[in-house]
Amino acid sequence: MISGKRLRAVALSDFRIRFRKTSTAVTFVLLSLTAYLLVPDPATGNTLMEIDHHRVFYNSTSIALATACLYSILLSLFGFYLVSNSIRKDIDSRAGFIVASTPLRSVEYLAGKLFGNILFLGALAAGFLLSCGAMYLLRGEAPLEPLEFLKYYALLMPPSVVFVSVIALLFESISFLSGRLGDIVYFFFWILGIGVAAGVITADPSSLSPNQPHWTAYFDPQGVALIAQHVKTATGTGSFTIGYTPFDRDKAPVILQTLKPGVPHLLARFSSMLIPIPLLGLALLLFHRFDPTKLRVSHGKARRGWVKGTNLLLKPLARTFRFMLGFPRTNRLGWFFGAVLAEFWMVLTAYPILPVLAVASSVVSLFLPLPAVTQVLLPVAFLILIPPLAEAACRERRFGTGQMIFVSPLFKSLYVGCKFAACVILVLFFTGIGLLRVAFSAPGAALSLLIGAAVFAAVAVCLGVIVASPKAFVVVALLFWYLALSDRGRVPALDFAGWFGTAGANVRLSYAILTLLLLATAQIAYRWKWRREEVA
Amino acid sequence: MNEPSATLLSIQSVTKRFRSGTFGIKDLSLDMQGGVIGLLGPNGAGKTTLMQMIATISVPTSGRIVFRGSDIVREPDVLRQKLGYLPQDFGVYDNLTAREFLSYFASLKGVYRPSRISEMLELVNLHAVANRPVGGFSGGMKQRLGIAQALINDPDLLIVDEPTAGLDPEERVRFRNILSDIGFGRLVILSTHIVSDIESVATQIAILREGSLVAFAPPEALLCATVGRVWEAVVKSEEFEELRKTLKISSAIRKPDGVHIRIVGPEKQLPGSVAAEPGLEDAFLYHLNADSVAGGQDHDQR
Repeated sequence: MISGKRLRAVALSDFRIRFRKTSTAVTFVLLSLTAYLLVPDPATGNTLMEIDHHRVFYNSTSIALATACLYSILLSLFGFYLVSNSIRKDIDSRAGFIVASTPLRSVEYLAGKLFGNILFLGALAAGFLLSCGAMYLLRGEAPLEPLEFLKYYALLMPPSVVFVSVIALLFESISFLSGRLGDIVYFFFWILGIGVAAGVITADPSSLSPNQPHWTAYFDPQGVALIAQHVKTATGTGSFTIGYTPFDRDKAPVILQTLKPGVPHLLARFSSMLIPIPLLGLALLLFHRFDPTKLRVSHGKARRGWVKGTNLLLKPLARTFRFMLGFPRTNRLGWFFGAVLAEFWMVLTAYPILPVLAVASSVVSLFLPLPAVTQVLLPVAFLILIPPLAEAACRERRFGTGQMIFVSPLFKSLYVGCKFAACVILVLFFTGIGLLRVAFSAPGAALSLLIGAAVFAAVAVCLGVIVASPKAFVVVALLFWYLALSDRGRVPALDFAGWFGTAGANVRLSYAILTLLLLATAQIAYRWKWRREEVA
Repeated sequence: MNEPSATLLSIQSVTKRFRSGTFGIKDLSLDMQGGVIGLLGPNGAGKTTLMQMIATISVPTSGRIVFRGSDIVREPDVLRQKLGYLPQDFGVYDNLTAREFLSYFASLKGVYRPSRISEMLELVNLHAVANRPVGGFSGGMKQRLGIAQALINDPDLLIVDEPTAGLDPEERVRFRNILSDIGFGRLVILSTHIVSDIESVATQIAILREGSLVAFAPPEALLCATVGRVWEAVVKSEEFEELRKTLKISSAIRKPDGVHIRIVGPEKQLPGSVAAEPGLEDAFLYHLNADSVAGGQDHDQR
């Protein structure tokens, strides 16, 4: 018999713990900012949504539909990284052991955690809805219709929220997906999920019915298929963009007709919401109930994973790099470089597979045609480097080693600089030969690669310092990596590392400035945290 | 063995073997009635593993744990209704207030009476800070909150694992007093490797070494078994460094005339040493090293 009171207690506590975090307040600020950026003033030449290069008239329908659709997509990505630590935090605090010793059943615990996730993500969605409502008051061109907003958000959000909540819980229950690998796997899982809507996005508008959702809409948590089908059937065109986008000022704005959801639409959304639910059964089956033996086994299995297994096998290799620890530290500069090399050595010791891959990558770089080096090998190198970079700037905070190493001269005050320099060296360690080859044929692209290495490292350090968790960098880096790779240089601004050679001087300068801004932000955040801890 | 009717908790030939092949607990049997049981042993002796099995968090590889006639390995809920557990290095949810924290665990244990939460906060002297986030609490306050959550369902069995680790002396005394007050009318199992934590409160002491029980008896019996095996001597500092390598020294205090040491051993091992009345620390050291200090004779008090 499931106790509603116990389930409620788990869900409510989980929600309270998350909701009262400072990072949640920051998330709400970011949501408001996102709403502000997503709904631009048409006078700037940009709009929230264009159809055949016509901007849509800013009425409640267009703003509600577009913002709900975009938020649903973003929520299904970022939401995972926000809630995929609900069981982990009970393990880390050891409160899970107390939970396991109570009459609380595992199914009640997991269901409580699920509702906690849903409540939290639902609260964020409500926050975004209010922000978009406020933006409407600023930019709307017709009277506000609150029910129109509620309709689209109610139609799109629940399946998206449930999907993320279930998958986060499932990944936490599966030992090898409960860590960094799960973070990366989910990203590709999310891309696949978005791909479900491709059937509608690529379909001819005349082949779609306004009243009968395409079959893919029944398997579409984000609701992209449903929205794409509505826009296509309502406007009779297949060309439209949702999101901050330029439009043709000479073309008159179009008024988007509202979607009148019938039973088939509701069924499609209901089906999309229910589809992930059976996965909870799998989560229940694999849930360890905080049994230390099973937790230990999980850890053991993780060690036996092929990446970690290879790392263990290659551990002796790390000794080769011990010379880095002997850097002469006779002056301030010596201490700085000594700390940087020690940090770099630490990464190589933690991931002994990296030097092997770096050597392999360098050798292959020598023989591959240059386009293959820049467009395949370098992107792969950046992808491989995401986990170690994510770890670098939050290692001390995560493992509580800060107090021990901060006694090292200068390290505490030069922390951000040391971490950044070590991260840049790590990227260049992988891409150095490729960089040299590019430098001879296209010096501009080589400069882009250098700046790309710097911006990648700066993002890792900045997010590591601010969030103190590797998740933030993993998701941001994966998203950016995917956008840059899939765009293949069509938008020069996305070619941050010069993989496709389309980034010009302006783009390079912008990324260089961004790097400096990120480092300044990291330094400010670091000093603020440091001072706060000293006061405490 | 005690009469089955008087036994509250019976551990019967319990073994815990990990996947790695190492033993956490080796064929351990123990019958417990009410009172405070001090579980003593060095780090790695298996105290936490044993407590986790009793707390139904971990399952023994073999053997039975019986609570009031029910096998709790098969029916853990029988015990969970009447169990209070405070794990080692227990953490808190920083963003919850003390009252919310207790309400959460009270709900999980099926206690829905708000007055019970107030009672517990009063008991551990946290009522004045009941509505403050626990993230700002000191280590001692968090431990007191931990014991409050363990007691919220008025348990018949209370398991407390290394509760005083990291606490300052004042908080240690305060915590011991709380345990002493609540020890009546229930079974309290308190694990520690610090003898002073239990010497004033334990009615029986179990000593564990490498997953096996080496002694289980009231403190008085452990002390009796150690009479005539504790010696006091005053040695020079330079001698002391050598002696500590060869003798079992239970305490050493530096004074102007030299280092005052207490040696645990079957006979006088140092000229000039005099027989001393044993303390629980000496008894612990004696039983823990029974093989080496007493020539391997059986000291199991079961």
